[in-house]
Amino acid sequence: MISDSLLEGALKALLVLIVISALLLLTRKNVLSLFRSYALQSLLLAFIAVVLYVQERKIELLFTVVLTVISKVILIPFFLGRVQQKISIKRDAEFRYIKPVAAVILSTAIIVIIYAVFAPLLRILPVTEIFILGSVIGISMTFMGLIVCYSRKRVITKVIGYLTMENGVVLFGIFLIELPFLIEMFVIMDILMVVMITAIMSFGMNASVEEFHVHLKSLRQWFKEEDASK
Amino acid sequence: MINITLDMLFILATFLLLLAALYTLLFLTKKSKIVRGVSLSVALLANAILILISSSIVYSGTALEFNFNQIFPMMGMDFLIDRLAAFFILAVSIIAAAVTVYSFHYLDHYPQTRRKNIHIFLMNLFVLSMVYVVASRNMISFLIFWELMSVSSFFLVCFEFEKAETRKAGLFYFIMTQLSTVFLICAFVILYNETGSFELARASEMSSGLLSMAFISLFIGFGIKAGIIPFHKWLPYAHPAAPSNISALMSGLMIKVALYGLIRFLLYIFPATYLWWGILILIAGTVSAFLGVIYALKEHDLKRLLAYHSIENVGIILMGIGMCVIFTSYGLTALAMISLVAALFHTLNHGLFKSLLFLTAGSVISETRTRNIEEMGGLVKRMPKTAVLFFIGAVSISALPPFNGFVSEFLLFHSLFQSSLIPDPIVQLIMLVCLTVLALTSALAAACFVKAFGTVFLAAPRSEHAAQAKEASWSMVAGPSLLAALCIGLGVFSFQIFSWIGPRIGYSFPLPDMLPAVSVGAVLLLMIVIGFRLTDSRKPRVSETWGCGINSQNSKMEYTASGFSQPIINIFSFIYQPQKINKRYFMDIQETVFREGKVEIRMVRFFEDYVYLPIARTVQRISRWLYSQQNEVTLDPFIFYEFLAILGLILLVGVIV
Repeated sequence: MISDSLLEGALKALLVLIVISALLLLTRKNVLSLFRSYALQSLLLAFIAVVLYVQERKIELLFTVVLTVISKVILIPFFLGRVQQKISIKRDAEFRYIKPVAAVILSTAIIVIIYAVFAPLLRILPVTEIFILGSVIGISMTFMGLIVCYSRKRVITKVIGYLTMENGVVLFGIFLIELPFLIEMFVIMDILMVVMITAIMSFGMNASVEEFHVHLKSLRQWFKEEDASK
Repeated sequence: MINITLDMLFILATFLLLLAALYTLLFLTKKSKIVRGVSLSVALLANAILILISSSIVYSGTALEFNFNQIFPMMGMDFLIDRLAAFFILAVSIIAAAVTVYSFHYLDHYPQTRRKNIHIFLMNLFVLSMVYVVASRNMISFLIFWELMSVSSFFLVCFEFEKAETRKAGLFYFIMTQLSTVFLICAFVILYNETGSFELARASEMSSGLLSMAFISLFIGFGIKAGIIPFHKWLPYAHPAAPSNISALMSGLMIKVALYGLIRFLLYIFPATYLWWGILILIAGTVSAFLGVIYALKEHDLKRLLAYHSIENVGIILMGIGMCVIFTSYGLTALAMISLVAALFHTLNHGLFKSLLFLTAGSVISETRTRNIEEMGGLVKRMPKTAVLFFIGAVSISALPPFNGFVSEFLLFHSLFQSSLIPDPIVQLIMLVCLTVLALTSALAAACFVKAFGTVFLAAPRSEHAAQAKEASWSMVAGPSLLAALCIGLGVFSFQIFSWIGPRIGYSFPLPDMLPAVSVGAVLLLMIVIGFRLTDSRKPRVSETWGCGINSQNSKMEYTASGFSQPIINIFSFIYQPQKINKRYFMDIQETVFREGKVEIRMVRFFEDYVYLPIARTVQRISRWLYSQQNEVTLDPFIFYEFLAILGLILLVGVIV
């Protein structure tokens, strides 16, 4: 059989790779490479689940692997690719609040902070160190997804942010709390729906949240008038 | 025969009041005065029943208990009317009765029918809510009726809402009154946490820190409503804006309900009271009394002047409460009782004469159509009855014997004089200082009412409207007359009343018997008047005062209110801090061609400029910043804030764990 230390080494390597993929999502400007990074990340997630299955022999993990590969490695990137072709956006180089380099530094800081805060809390559970590391990286990935959400301007990259967050949750789940399989399935259905809706909406508009809010801004007119009357 | 018990009668009376209120709503658009007349008559009947019930409870001391738990289950609708509550209900119903009589004709000079009917509805509701606040035995029902009282009075203040000034006053009042409720709720929550029940009953032992916290927030909550300086600012805004009958109710009753709350909690709910509470209350009372009268002196708006006097008198009542707490903490129960009775009696008295003054001021204002006393004058010949009534009120509030104001302030002075019985020299010193300030306050109040009565009623009219004023209609004289009669009666017969009540509550009160002196004086006066009438055969001669040789004299030559108060303002200029603003603007940079100038003398509005406005500006700045943050209607900022908030939370967890 494969030794435990080898499995642990593999897990560590996969975790490092998954962090790198998240950092790629923060920094890449080419939309297509963003999709590829996301697919890669999901694939890494599936590998982690496989390794964990080898270690623990839980059948749910295999289901997770199958679902992840089908939905996140194949279907979602495919959909997103179609959307990207339709709206023909090649690059998303617009950032707000935080530039990519700063985002990378912030993410590293976040991983350290979350490790410092959560590791003592999680030690109460009867798990080994590698599991704690995995779940900490899961939480950090949720944060990195959030950073992608607010620092990018295009809708299509925002969606990638949400998907990263979801991956973080799954990572946390397979390492620590073992989400019931049914819930995991529903979550995946949900994000499939999110991607579909985004796809449909992206066709109808010029693919930036600002334009979607143009008609909302007419509401602001009302406030401005009141301001002027004061 | 049906056995009618007191509690059934009480419920019946309040039900009548509710009915009277709802009746006007039924006929909201009816122009006829009969609708309001019927409603007011029913309300009057209800108030009469309430007077009977509450006076019988004050007399016998047997408490009345009832609840509405069958109608409103789980709402804590428990009521208990003991002697203290009955005393306040007595005050409420007497004054409400007088105001009801007054309101028969007061609203006639307003054209809006629907608004007048709503006014009557709200007024009855207002009185009803005050009765039930006082009767409440449970914090929940206390708060419910407290809020009903606040909201109905807010709408009553906004009667003339088309005026910007009224809207501002109403908003100011509403914010302050909500603030007061917030503090009350804080205190109630603290008490509930400690005792586990919302019942207004003696709380079990609790830690002194929490108890003091509950006291402070109750003191602020009730203080805002009662108009204690520095929470007083809504009074001088709301009273001039409100119709006069509402000013009378608010100043005469509502601020007393707040004081009732304070007394109830201090004496009946808190398991213990501390010395520093008493000193705090005493000093707050002294400051309110002194500054109230100081601000009243410079005021030329009749109703605002009266509003400042309300602040002064609330201060005097608070001094009594504070003394009561101080004496209790030294174990001097007899003196504590005298201070408390002084406070309670002054509460009733102030309610009587302040409502009297507001009502008569309302008659004057509706005739002269101005609130500025510099435009009145000469009304004693045109409105003689109103003038006499106002005079009685003015003398009572100035605490001159033999009127009722004198009696309660006398009791308060008496208890302040007993400071020598207190072992702690610092407390003694504080009480002596308060005593002197109170003496000064009384003198200044008298000066202020000399000014008010003199400028409003004496000399020649200073404006067209004042010259054409006519006597108010019968109900607007009858309502105040009731109050005036009580002002005199409670003063002249005070010795008899207290020697009758004293044994019932087990204390004797050191009061002079004013009846002989007054009767001798009255007989003498009568004899002099009759003597003059009999011996005087000449016809009255009409002529002008000598005017230093000037042919035609006009009202411009009269002694003005500003002139009268000027010396006092000079003396206290360190408080008023008058600022002289002298600004010149020029057409050119070299400052040779004069364009315009601005000269102004104004008093520093200390609390507004240094307390209220800085707080308001800070809040405004924060909200403007938040507004500008939210104004961007995009998703990203909100995700960003969420990110920051979650990260902050995690850091917080890290720090705590």
